[in-house]
Order: sequence, then C-alpha cells, then structure tokens
Amino acid sequence: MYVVRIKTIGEVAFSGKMKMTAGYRYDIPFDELQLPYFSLSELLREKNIVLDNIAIGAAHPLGYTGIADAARKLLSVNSNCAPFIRGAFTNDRFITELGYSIRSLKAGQEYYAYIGFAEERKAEVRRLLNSVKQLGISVSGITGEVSMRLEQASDLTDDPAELSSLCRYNCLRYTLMLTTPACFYDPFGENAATHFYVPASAVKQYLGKVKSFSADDISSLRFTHAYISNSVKRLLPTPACVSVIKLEREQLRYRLASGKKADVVEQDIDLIETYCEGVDEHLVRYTRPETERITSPDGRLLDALSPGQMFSGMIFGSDKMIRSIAAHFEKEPMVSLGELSDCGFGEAYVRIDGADEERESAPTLCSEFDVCCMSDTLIYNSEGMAACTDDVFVDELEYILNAPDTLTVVGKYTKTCSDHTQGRPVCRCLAKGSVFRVRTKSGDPIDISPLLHCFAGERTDEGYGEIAAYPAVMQYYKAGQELAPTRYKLGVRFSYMRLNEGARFTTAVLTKMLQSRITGLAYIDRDEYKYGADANELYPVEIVSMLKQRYAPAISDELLKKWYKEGLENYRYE
Amino acid sequence: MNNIPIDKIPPRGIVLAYFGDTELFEPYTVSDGKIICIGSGIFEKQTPDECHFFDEDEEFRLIRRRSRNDVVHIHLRRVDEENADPDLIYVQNVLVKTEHSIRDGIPKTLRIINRFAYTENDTLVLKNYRISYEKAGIKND
Repeated sequence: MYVVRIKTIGEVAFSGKMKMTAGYRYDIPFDELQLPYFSLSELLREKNIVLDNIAIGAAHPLGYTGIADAARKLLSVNSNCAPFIRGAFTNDRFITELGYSIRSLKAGQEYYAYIGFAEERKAEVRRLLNSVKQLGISVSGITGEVSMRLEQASDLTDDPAELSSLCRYNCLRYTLMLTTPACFYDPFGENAATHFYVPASAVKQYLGKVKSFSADDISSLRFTHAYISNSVKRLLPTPACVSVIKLEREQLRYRLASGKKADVVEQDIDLIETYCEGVDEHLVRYTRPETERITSPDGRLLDALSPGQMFSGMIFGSDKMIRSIAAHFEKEPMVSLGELSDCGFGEAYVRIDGADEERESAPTLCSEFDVCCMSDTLIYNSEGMAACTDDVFVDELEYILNAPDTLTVVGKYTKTCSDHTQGRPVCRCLAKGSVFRVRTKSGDPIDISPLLHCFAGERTDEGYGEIAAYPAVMQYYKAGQELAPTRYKLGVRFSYMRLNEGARFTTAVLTKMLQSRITGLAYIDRDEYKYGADANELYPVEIVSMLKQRYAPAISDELLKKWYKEGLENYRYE
Repeated sequence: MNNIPIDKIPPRGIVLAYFGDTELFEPYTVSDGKIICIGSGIFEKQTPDECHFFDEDEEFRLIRRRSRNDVVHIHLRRVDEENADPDLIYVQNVLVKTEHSIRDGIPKTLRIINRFAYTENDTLVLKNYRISYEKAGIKND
C-alpha cells in the first residue's frame, strides 16, 4: 500500500469550500477528536490536477493512530482540552483590519494520506505528486508551500488476526472503523439519503475490485450487513416489538394514546433505525448511528455516516476464501467504500476480529419461540411474487427446519419496506426488526437449532434474510436509554512507537493547558502588579504546584515562574 | 436451453430476462424447440434469475428461487382476467425507454395487467401481474 507524505513548509490554509465556520474566513476541517483532516483529492482538484483512477483518502497527521488514541483519552477526561488539541496543529489569527479570523496548519508538520492506483502508474503518480509545491490559498503571510512524497506504507496493522491452521473456517468477522464520512446512498430512503449501516453490497463491491479475487470467488461468498458496533459486539436492529404502540395499561404509549399525561421521567422515543444489544426486561439501551452532511464535488448535499463509528459484519465462505480475505485485509487494512470514494469519503480501517468454524449447535427444544429478522428479508411465494405475509414466512421457517405444516404464528410485529436496489425490480420485503412469535401446532417441542442464526429467502449473499431465533421469553420494556455510538475504540494493540507518539502528544497538549492556566493566574493578579507589587511575592506557589501536579508534573518550576512573570508583563496594561 | 419448457411459452412474443449482471429484452420466435432471438445464446451459458415470455394474450414466467433451489413456473392468460371482478384489475401502460423502443419489434409501451385481491384481513394485495403489449404499437411488425 502506498501513502502520500505531505510536509508543510510554510503555513497552509484552505478556501471556504473545505470548511465554513462563523467568524473564520479560512478554516481547517477537524474531526470528532479535534484532529485536522483534509481531502487531498479536493485540494489537488483545485489546482486542476487530473486524478483519473487514482483514489486518495483523507490526509491525517502523521502518527495518527497513536495521537487519535491519546486525543480520545484526553477528551474523555477533560473536554476543555479541545481548543488545545486543535492548537497543537493549527495557528489561529484574528486579522483586525479585515475583521475575521484565519486558521491555518502550522509549518513544519507532516501529514499522510493513503493512495491507491494501478501499479504500472507508479512513476507517473510519483511525478505528479512531486510537482505539487503549494496547496490551498496564499494570503496574508500564509504561503501554502508544501512538499509531497510517495512512499510505501509500513507498519500498518499492529494486531494481525491469528488463524489456526487446525481449523476449517467458514465465517470471518471483521470490524471497520470509518476515518472519513461514508455515504451509502439510498435514493428512496425515508429519513436521510444514507443507510444507517454499511450494506453488504458495499463490502462485496470493494472485494470485487481487488485483483486477487475472481468474480466466481466473490459470488461464492455470503456477506452480512455491517451494523454499528459498541467496540465489543455487533449491535442488531431494535426489534419492532420495542417501538410499536401497544395497548396495555403499563405501556407509556397506551397512556399517551388514551389522553393521559406522561410522567416526568418518561419520554416518547422514536426508535426508527436504532440498534441494540438486546431487550432487557425494563430497559432498552439503543444506539443510533450519527450522520452528517457532506458536499459532493458537483455540489450535491448528501448525508453520510460520521467518522469514528465502528461497524461489524461477517463474511461466510470456504476455508480457503476466508483465509485469503483475512490475509488481504492484513496487508491492506484501509478500504474505500460507498459513494464518492474517489474523493476520499468512505475511508475505513478494517480489523479482523476472528474467524469461526461451522458449529453444530446443540438441539434447542421449545414449543414456542421468537424469530427476528436482522436484515430485510425477501421471500418469494409459490407464485414467484415477493410476499410479506405470515404464511409465506412460516413456510420458509418450516423449510429450514424441515418440518412442513407444523408451525403457526402466535403474534407478530412487522414492518415492510420496498427494496430499491439499483438495477433490480422493486420488491416488498419484511423490514429489519420484524419479529414473529411462532409455536408448534401440536404443542410438542421442536428443535430450532438450525434457526438460531441463519439466512432465509432470496439475495442472502448480499445480507438479506439474516434471521435469529430464540426460545420465547416474556419481555416487557418500559423505558429506553440512548447510548452514543462508540467511536475510535478499535482496541488494536499499539506498537511501542505509536504509544510514544501518543504520550508525546498528550504531554504537549497538557503543557499548553498548564501554560494557559498560569497566564490566567497572572491575569487575575495584573492590577496589583500594575500598582507596584513584587512579582515574586504575588506568585501563587500553592496553586501553581497543584496545577503542575495535575497537568505536567515533570515540568520545571523555573519555567512556570517565567510564564507567570511574562503573563503579568503582558496583562499589565489591560 | 436448460429446463425452459418450450411447449409452454407463447410461440411468438417478447422475452424479458434478467441474468446476474445483464438483461435480455428482445422479440423472439420458437422454432424446432429452440428460442430464436438476438442474444439467445445466453440461455445456454447462464441461468436467468427471472424470465418473462409474453405476447398480447399470455405470459409464461420463470422465477428462480435460490432459497429453495427451484424455479417457479407461472402461466398467466388473458382468459382468466375476463371472468374477474373488474374492480380488482388495474391496467398500467408503461413507456419503454427510447434506447429499447427504437429497435425493431419492441413496442413503445408495455401494458401491465395487475390482479389484486382482498385477504381475509380485508387488506388489498397484489396477487399477480401479467405483462402484455399491443401489436399495433410495434413498428415493422
């Protein structure tokens, strides 16, 4: 894999098209962790450099993985450090004559971006990159001078998945973490123009472009959708039974529907497109993936999944294919998925979580069980029409269990949706989240182990028809709690070098924070200093030593005193 | 012609077939137990996911079901619609894209006859549909 190394020789600022903030004429885009990232392909396009068939990802500061981890920890401990994290990379200037601020990247920094191209074009790409000497705008002392270099990416994965040579695998589990916004276009979607998950077709399309896999190889695999993960588990669509209005007294919705007022602590929650680990007795903890607006190069406004979120999915296939895919991702863990991937959107880091063998489940006997659709389920009835009725679904279950005419539906909560996949006829399917409670007609228990996690209906190779079943349980939820999506917590084992970078970054940010606190103390004491008090006597030793312990215990006392005195001098005339 | 029952399809008409990544939309004739049309060679190489053979009065449809590893055969005829409740038949005339309709033998519009029914819950459901066309709408025919 190749990367482009960008070194800022002078300060670099970007035009308003890259990022617009109130009060700033020119600003730098920051991600959730307050680290700068910018679309290199967009900048090159501004310079009229043609990039056909070259995919460039977003540019991040060098040492990103170590710094990102450090930034995440800093922000979770003390969210006030956000401006200091930004300040480690950018200069912020207010131009009084013109009345606006400019934020620019500092000189002497290094950034990198992943770049993909056909191997034969290496010399051409190298020439192209070496010819770029300036990026962004050139205004009021900001030259935008840069130097770019093409390099082989090294040391990408710190945590290779270990696949045993003794097993015959049939399932590969992976998690992908978005590093830039990713758009999975759903042209007829209800709420937003992106799916709230990474569709199986996007992953399938990506693997289809990899040279070492043939079209036949790919069509032998089965992909599931990658749903949002809480860094440990793949969350699943909230079952429809949780969000549907029910007519029982204890349910909040019943009371609202019959004109009674909600208690102070209760809320009416919209649970469309949410994912959860499971439904507890009284509480549903759900997560809704976050989206943001992006602009395509031709000016269209699209919704995209925000970066930092993690999505987990599975690939089923032969042992040989599982191993080759795992090996491919270990070599090239950065992927480009979804729309606008050639503009740097949809960049993600893939981590292999592990691989599973095909296991014979122990027989699970029950006479009543719940079946939940984990993804849109498309079933053709005996007339070849797409159907969403009970009897067609039960037929399918009976077919999987090889027990014709034994089951009947007790109750269900279903949603239907229309599937508008490009290039295929529109069909109605059972939407993800539909649940059925099924029981045997005779009352005898039946073994549901084939149903525990299986695929039913059509297009299962693209994630449709993922079904889970479990013995019927009396469940009764009353309240919901939204959990924000976990971000940037892939949990890869960091190399020693990365940890060092993270530690250095943390120290730099904390030192800057300490300096700002000390000059703040000087500001408080400025009046007394103005009227002739001695700086050494004014120096608040105890407070400073407390702050020093908190932020940067290793720093020298002389430096702290120097900052204090400089602060007094600076604020003397305020 | 892997398992396409030649005796059941209309002897002359239009075929609309979806394969993995291509489509076939051509007028065809049957002779000597074989389907003759432009691109009919594809039937020997690939199995269609969905295949409609239709003329003005009849349609024969094959739908592949990967979940059951079988192919559903459906035969639809105009005579069945004549006895149906007219409130439950809905006819649509859909325009065919110019890139197809300028070719010989392809009509400018297709007529879709939708057959609705009420379920026991009194919901209206689309039971089936038949594709057809008007001979007068085709040039050079």
